[in-house]
Amino acid sequence: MSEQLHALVVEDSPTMRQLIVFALSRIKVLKVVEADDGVDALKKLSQQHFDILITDINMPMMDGLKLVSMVRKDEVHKEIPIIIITTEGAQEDRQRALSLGANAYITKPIQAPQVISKVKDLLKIS
Amino acid sequence: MSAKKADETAHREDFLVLFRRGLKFTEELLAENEKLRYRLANLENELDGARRGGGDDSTLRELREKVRELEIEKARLLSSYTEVESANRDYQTRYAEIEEEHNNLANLYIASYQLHSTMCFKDVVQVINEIVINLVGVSSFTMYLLDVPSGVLHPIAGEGVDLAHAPRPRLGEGVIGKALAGRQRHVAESLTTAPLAVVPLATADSQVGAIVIDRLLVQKEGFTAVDNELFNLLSVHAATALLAGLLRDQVGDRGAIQAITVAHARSLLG
Repeated sequence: MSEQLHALVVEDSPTMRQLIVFALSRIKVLKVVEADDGVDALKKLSQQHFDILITDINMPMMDGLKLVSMVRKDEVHKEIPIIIITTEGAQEDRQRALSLGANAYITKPIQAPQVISKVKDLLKIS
Repeated sequence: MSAKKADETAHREDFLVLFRRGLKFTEELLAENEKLRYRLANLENELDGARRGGGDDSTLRELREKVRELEIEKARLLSSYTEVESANRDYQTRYAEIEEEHNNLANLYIASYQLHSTMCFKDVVQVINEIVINLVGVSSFTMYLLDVPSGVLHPIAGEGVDLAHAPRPRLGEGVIGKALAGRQRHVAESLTTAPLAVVPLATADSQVGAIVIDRLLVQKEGFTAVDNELFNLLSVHAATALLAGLLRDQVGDRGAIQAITVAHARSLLG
């Protein structure tokens, strides 16, 4: 598969964002765009097409759960695969995110292979 | 790091090439084994036919010899197959180890990169917070800074704690003060004992402060090998970054830039 795919990584922590982008750089067909929070993410979603959305939950301006629910209500992006990466490890947090429409839920600290494998699964790339 | 990353990528590619060769060899062995089974079955049929048809002794001997050779060949192939299978298992284990090592190095590289990406004290404190929360997986901790004249450690930042009511230990006293005075990390024996860890922050010639960890994220079952490496990195790199930030903020951005002269640098180098 040589088709270029686009991922939007939404994370307020530059350290964490760099770590996620670093992990995703191993998927050669994936081009990554970064956003600081939910508001920034919505703006970037309106400007270009993305194949996958990876977001944190706890962020200023607009949190990840609000972003997920808004994206799922949007006609253009309602089918986009969404992965949550968060410090919130309680079962009820996971259930809430999945019920709002997230496709996968990964807790921090992350293991790069886990993130890569989840992204590949959702994008159906080998 | 880019050279290291390229090196790791090359290792991974080499490993994958080896792994694919092993897989191809296994498939060839299996196909060969299948052919031999087929030939063996044919020969056994021929042997039975010869027996029933009253074939002469030389034909029977010839067929028996062929069967014996094929049995030996089959045993050899099966043994090779077992060896390849075992090698494949070793490769898989090694691949998992390399993946883990790669992940750990990425964590350390990014922590170090972020710590030294700014000279602003407030930003350095924020980066330390992010490393402790996101990379180590801590839900409650306090960052202390040593007030050198009084020898008292003051809480300056943290997560999940009330800084106003946090203790103010003296250098050399209590778990926190002793850890910094001795530049020795303290790690509790169980996850129910607070503090879980005290990471002293010190350069070769200055004691700067400490990170005191009280609670881990619920999904985290304990400290890992990479956490220890992150603590080692924080001990020195967070200390130098905090000191640099404090000094730079004291003279101001403008002052710091004006202080940079080649003549001064040369005089420092002697």
